[in-house]
Amino acid sequence: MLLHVNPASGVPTYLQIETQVKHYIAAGALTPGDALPSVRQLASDLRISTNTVARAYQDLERDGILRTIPGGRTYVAENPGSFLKAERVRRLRPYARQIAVEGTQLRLDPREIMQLVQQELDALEEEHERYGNLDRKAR
Amino acid sequence: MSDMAIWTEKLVKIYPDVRAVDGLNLNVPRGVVYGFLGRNGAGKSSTIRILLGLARATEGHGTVLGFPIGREQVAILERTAYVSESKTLYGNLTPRELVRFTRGFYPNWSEQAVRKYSQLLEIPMDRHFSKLSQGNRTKVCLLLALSQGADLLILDEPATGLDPVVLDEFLRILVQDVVSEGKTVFISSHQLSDVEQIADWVGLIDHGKLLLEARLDDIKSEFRFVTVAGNGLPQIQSSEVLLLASEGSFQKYLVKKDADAFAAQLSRQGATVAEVSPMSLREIFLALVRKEETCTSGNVGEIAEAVSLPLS
Amino acid sequence: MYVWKCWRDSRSRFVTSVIALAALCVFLTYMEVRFGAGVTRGGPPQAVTHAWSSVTRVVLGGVASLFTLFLGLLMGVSGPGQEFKERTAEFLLVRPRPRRYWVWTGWSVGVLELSAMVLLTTATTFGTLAYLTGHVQTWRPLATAVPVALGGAVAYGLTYFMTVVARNDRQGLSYGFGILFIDLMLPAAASYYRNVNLPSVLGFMLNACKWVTGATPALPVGSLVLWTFIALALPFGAQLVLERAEV
Repeated sequence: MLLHVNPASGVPTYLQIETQVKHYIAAGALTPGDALPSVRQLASDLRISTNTVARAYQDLERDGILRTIPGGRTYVAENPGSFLKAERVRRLRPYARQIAVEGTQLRLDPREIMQLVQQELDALEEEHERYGNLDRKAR
Repeated sequence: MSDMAIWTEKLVKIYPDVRAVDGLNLNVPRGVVYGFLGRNGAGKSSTIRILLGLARATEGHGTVLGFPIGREQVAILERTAYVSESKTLYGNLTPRELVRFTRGFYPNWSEQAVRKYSQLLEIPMDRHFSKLSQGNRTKVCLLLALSQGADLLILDEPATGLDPVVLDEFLRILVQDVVSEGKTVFISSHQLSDVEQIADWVGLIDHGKLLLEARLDDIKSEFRFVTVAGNGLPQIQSSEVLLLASEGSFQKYLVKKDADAFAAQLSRQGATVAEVSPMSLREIFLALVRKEETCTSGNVGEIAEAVSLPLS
Repeated sequence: MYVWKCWRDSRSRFVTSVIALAALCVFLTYMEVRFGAGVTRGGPPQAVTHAWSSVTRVVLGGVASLFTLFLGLLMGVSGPGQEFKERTAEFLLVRPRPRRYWVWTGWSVGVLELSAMVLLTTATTFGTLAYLTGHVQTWRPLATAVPVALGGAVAYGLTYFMTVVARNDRQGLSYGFGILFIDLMLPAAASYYRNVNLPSVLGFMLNACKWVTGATPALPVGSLVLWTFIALALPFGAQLVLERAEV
């Protein structure tokens, strides 16, 4: 898994890591049970503080996306987000609100906003397929 | 205080013609990378000299690794590695001899580290120090600091003369062998991009005072540029807003917290919010430190005070 | 570590000084014994006695003393004082040692070197004298090493202290030389013009050597104590200065 961070961007580094991990999982590049690099290794490779990576991993673990064996490696959790549906909806709502606000701010109408979201979902689907094909070819 | 790597309270240092340090309250937690930023003459070097016992504070006190500054200075020095800005070592000795000189002072010294890092950093170990280039001199100083087995590294401009490859290698070493071991790194530097990359915390000093001290992640999550257009922009009072620039009907603010709420408020009052954008460390630094120069409307007060907009 | 460094910085100066001083004294001894006292191997007993006495007084007491003072002054520029000029003081003073450690360690290395130089010179002179006159008349000339080394330590300490104060080896040497010069001239002038006895380090060294030869009956104990005190007070002063110094 290749992660990349841009320290000069306004987005905090730990968030960048979290976002990328979530993306990889959503796109199927990372599947449940896959191991992630150790905090130390990842920090060292990216030349960023171990505290930053640790924070990202902790956040993801708290959200149920990653799982750490005590004293060992971190893995993609078997049942990512094994929360109740209501809980999962609750977690997504702030992002939905953000899209609504931003979209309105940018003077896009609801239809265009929904179209955008659909396009992104389709793109993810495509990525999922691509990684799936790669996997199959590798075996 | 003793759980902090570095802690100072109302530290003051007065030289004959200037207050170099003016009521400084540093809080550097253990196990983090702390970027100590400021312009030349802001008081960075004076502060560091006080921490190391090279100079005495005029007022105030502090601890380093739990030991009171001044009273237990040797205990501090046993556990602290320092790379000075000048990076001047004995010219008539070679790096190998400098290692020999230095290692006797530190029981936790690691010869293995010397071997490893001298190779990784590509240091010519048998050339006289006076004949080394600036970059090589920096490398030797870094080598000595890394091999010391210290709990705290105080690095003043550690990148001087280093080419990008060596600098990258040094950052990797710092992360892998120092930070991940729970040691604390205190970096004073102008190289904001390097600091931004590796720092957990940032302390911004200007005219001897701390303007800002917070986790870098938090700063980045909260600080925003808000650019607004509108005539007759109404009065806004807030301790978290700084007017940076004003041109025609456009105003640019630095908002330290709840930028979206601020933008929404302006929006409700009839202005057009052109942009709410995140800030890089460099932009934050320049905005906070250059506040008097950037603002052209002439109505900027101290950073913590309210800013009021002119009614027109 | 620091001892090793002090030695490394001063060893060539030390070796040159030893050779120069020893060679000079041996040469002068030879001249004095052969031509001054007119002694040939196993020569006339009176001449031999005269030779022993005059060599002790003039060569060891006079020439060696003067040169040891001079060399002591020169050697005193070592130690933490000069590091300020070279900008390495920052590095040194951040090593985990109390500041007095640097002062006394540097001083001790220098004083040891100086003492070794004096001992070697005295021993070679003594040996030359014994050889040229055919026998050992008395062991007392060896005792001149004490006052000569002590005087040298005072001169050394003077420059050492001044270098720490001035934070510069050249200035330290100049001040040290200036003060020593005054200490040489002023007592001499006071004694000559006003018959007043002021303490002078060279005077002390000469008198002590005179006592060794038996020329003066009273051992100058007071001077011995005074100059020992001064020899130790100078590095102590340097310690006080360095402890308050800001880099």
